[in-house]
Amino acid sequence: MKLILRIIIICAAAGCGGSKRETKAAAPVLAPPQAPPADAAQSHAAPAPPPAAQPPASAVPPAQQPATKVGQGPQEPPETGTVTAAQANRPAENAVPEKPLMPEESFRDQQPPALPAPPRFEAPLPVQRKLKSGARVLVVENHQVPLVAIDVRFLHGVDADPLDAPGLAEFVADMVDEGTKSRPAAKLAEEIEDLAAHLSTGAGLESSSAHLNCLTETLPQALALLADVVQNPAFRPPDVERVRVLRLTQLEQKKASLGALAADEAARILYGPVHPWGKPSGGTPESLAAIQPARLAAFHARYWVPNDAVISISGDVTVDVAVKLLEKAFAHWKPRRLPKLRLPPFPRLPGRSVEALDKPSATQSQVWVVGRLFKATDPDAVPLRVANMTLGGLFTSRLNMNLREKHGYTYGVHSGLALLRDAGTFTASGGIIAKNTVPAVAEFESELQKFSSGEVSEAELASAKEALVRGLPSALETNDAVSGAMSNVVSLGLPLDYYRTVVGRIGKVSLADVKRVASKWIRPLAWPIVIVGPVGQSKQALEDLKLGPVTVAPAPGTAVPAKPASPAGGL
Amino acid sequence: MLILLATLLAADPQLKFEKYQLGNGLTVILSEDHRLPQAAVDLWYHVGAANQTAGHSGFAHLFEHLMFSGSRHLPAHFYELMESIGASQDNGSTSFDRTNYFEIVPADKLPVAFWVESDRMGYLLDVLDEQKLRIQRDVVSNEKRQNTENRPYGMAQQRLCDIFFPKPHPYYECVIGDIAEIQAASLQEIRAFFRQFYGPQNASLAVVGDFDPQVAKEQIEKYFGSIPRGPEVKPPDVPQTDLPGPVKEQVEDKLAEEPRLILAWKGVRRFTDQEPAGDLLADVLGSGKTSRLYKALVFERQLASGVSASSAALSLGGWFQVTVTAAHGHDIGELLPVVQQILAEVKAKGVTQEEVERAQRNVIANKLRALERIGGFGGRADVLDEYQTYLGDPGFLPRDLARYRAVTPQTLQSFAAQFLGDERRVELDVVPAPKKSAAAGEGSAK
Repeated sequence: MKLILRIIIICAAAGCGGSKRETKAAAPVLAPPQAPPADAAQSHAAPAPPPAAQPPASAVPPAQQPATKVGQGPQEPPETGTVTAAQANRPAENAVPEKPLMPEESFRDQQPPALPAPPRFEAPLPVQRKLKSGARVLVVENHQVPLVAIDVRFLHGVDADPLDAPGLAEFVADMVDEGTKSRPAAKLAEEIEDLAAHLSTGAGLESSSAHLNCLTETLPQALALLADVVQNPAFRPPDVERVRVLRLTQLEQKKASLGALAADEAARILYGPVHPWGKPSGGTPESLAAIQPARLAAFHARYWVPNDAVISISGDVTVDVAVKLLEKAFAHWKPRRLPKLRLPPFPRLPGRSVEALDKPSATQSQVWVVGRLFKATDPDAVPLRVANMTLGGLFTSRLNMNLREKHGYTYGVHSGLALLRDAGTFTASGGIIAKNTVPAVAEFESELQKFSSGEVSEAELASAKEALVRGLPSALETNDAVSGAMSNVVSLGLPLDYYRTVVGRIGKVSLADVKRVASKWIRPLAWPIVIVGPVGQSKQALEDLKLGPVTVAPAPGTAVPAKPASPAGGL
Repeated sequence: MLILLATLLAADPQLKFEKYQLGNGLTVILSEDHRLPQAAVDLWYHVGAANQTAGHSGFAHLFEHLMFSGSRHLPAHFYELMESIGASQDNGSTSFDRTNYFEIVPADKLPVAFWVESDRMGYLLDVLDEQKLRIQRDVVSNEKRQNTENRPYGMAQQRLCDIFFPKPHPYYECVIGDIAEIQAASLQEIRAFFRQFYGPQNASLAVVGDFDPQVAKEQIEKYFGSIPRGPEVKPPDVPQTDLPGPVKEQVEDKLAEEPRLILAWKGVRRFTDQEPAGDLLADVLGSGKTSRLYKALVFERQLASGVSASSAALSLGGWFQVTVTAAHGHDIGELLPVVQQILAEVKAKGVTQEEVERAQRNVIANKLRALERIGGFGGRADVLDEYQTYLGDPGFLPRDLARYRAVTPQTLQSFAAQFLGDERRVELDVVPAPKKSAAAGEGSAK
């Protein structure tokens, strides 16, 4: 049915909630979109904006000309029909008014008032326990549907990749469900699918995870399988070879994705050549080819340990039963001493500059403005999240209203914070219709500079706060989302009542706070711009924008001409 | 295990709903869930590509876009309004047989959702003009380029649709339509389309979530009650013809990185007796690591990076499809014999009881998972509306599951034997187009 969904349903928005990939693709661990950044499985690309930052692209067009904003909002008293500037020259056909279908009903003139009881959302507060092995356990009971989600999260991932083996943490995560010491790969898969359970595994920038969703009645059996996968992966050479080929194929396919290429380039600039986060997501063909089973097993033995783990459960099970079942399933799990990572400092940013990767076959460009921020627990996190909503967190944010609605350069642009345990990034980005790439870069810059002054209107602040608060319940609707969010909270070092208290903290953000954090942290004059697209002929035009040095190089996977390129000028 | 699931499902309080009709024929389905302070509003119109006529491909979908361009009492910028009330997952979608419009709103803003949806139902034409149509024609044309022509393997999927449903079948050009025909859509045609298909008696409104049913009913009557009934909509009935013989085509794909083999056959219609067998056979062949295609092609021989199988059952026809993407360094010539052998085995020897049971359990569990969400794509509101739209019974879920439980290995084998013959098979070989080289003289190596 996966494929079918994509074929037969066409959505007004850019994506129908994400079409499922083919069988092999592990579902990423779900994480709440707007709250703490999702260090989700497979989201190696650090600067990627959180999913919800994606404005709901829609039937509303990229206007062909500066759009006359029709009606200033729902409260505006309606005229006889909404009038656009363009109606003046509408064709004769339209001039003959049709008989109205409907009676006049004055109550329709105004947006209806809200119902008396304003909704109150109490975010779930997990009950915390500890297993004998030292693993932390968080449980949120939800007896709505007979399903349970279990998220096992280890607090290291790509950050633990050795410099000579980029892609190792992700390779390990991909291998743990490919056979255990007592269950060959095929048998393991069969047992999981026999229970109708969903198991997915992955590694992010600073965590690794195994995530299970199962029916309540099969929880004991499903937990036994999960525990086996987490503790006893076998890394048999034939399985390793098989998965290696799949991962190499994924690296090939990545070359077709402008967004993935932009993310890699942004990571390279932000984190540099000697930091594991600066390497391409998934590793390189060379590094993948060199990783041997013993190395996978050693990484697993070192980092998939209970004393560095949190197990978050959400669903149709009581706290006591959950803990009892976990103790049983993980009875033989032993803590091990965890080596302290010594990561190099981040490099100095190149300053304001344009790094363009030429992809001649593309019809769009990805434009990313990226910068470094702070860690997730920083007190400026909530105010800056609020501030960002006005810049690029919503469909109606400044970036989208300018680049999409005013200029028609794009189907949607956005900006977002990705905050981690010890670092954070800011990204303003979007897919741009190829011929508009250079003017779009100029508009990104002008909006960012304006925003960095921190001048935000009362109305903007109110709708930013409202949107953040209103978005919370949806982000915590399913068991997968809740368990993933609880693990995130621990992984990021946030307090367990983060979701409970964040509503109050959002409410307290003032105009002065926004001004302070925006002018302190948003620094377009120091931030690099990454472009991936058909920009081979655009070097001069980009230089004319005077945004610092411009580099144009072929994108990975683009056939390079046999003759060496002529020396580039202008640097 | 299956019996256990059946019990649980019957006990699930979330399947409780109340259904009634307004005087104008609008079907209303209410289902309470007070877990989160939100409500999903989901309006399905029983109109899709199936209702189009030759020369008007893409019409239903183009129309869906216009529903977001403002109506008499709503601002033109639909998404600004939705954002301002804290709505989420507000969207619309068009498929072969139906079109829907939906949003999740904070519980206290439920009347706003009714105001919005009733205004689009009642007052769209008052403000629809040539300018809006022109803009949406371009947006939709661009959407086709983006989602079909600029997406790896998108063109092959589109081609498949045209092979099974050649013009003048209403499904030709799939749902998205032919760009020239989209561009030719006139305002008169659009108005006629709206008057014909967007009457309240051709729609069902599902509301799921945190609301007081008494208040909801009053509000629904207030906003939808005065909209006049539309003309009767005759269900389209254009049969799907048989292919005259086997089809084999090569599709060059500029964006694909690896070759892909697609095999397809004419299939079955929605909610027919054979539909569950088609779905479960697809599951046995291509879903999960235990599936036959995955085991043989990805696991054992490592010729493929991914497999899938699906049975598209629509109101006017359908097709069964097997898709295999080559692993890096392999080609279609290596994939095809293996796929053929697997299909031949299923036809000759059938599948095992275990395989059928596993597929059944997964279908059931996935239907439960859909119930976790009140709205959005495929959530509880969609489940209720779907059964109502096609069967007139929002509570069909338990009986639907029973249909799947009734399937046996023999049913699957006869489905395979009846439908997956070589004599009318479609084979599409998707191959990456040769790469253009980068323009010289621009780069500076870093």
